[in-house]
Amino acid sequence: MDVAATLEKTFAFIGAIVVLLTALYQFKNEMKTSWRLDNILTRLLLGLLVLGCVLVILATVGVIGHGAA
Amino acid sequence: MAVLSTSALNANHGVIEVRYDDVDRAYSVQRDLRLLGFALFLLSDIVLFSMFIFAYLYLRNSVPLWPPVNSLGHQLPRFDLAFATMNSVVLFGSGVTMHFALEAWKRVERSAFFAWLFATIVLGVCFLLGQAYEYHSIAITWAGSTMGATFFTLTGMHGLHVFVGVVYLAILGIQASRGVYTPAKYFGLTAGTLYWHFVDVIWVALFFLFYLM
Repeated sequence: MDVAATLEKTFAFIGAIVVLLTALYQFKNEMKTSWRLDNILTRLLLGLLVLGCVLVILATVGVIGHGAA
Repeated sequence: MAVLSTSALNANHGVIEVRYDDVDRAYSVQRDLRLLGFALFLLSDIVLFSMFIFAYLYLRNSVPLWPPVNSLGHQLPRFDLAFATMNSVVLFGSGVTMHFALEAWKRVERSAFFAWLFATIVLGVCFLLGQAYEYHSIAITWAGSTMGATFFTLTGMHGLHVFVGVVYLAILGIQASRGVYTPAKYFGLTAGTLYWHFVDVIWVALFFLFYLM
């Protein structure tokens, strides 16, 4: 793997962990709000954002994607 | 209408009294209807993306080898996963900054709201620049293969949504600075946040389909 790809993956890994933790915090706070449509949609979309972060983390460590072992 | 019907003419003072709870109720009904309309708009966008995604999956499964081979018999290269992960994090990060912006508005922290909104716009523009760089550096073309056609169509359509989102957020920022929204009435900001989260989530699907499958 070349240096640029390693740097990109390192940045992505650290960034994805930060975004994941922040999104989980926001999701937890959002769960305290009422069950209105906008809150429900926000919870759903934040949950899927968390999933996206997990996918990025797994891809950067080579568990999934074409770089997977 | 709800406001007018519950307003009362005060005969003694000759003024129209409008009860604040009636105003709030009228706004609440209007807000819920707008929200429903916006949710239906997002649903229609999901249908649009779903059609293209199913077309991509159909085309992908109709060839024996993926990435497919070109006219010279060489297998096309895979997309750059490392760069895509970095660009994805930029977009996902903009999702959380937009959420912080809305929360700051609810807490009446105007300067924090504008800072988070600006960060969201900057990250959105960075994502678009990243997409442009990937388009420029990629070894496939739109017309060269089904892989290229589906990739450019889907990611291009998503990029158009991001671009529209960036413009939309900039307009929301201008409106907020001009006092269009209050800490109690801010439907436009809620819609903007939902739209931006939606754009993020569509990218989760595209990232999985093009870079991980």
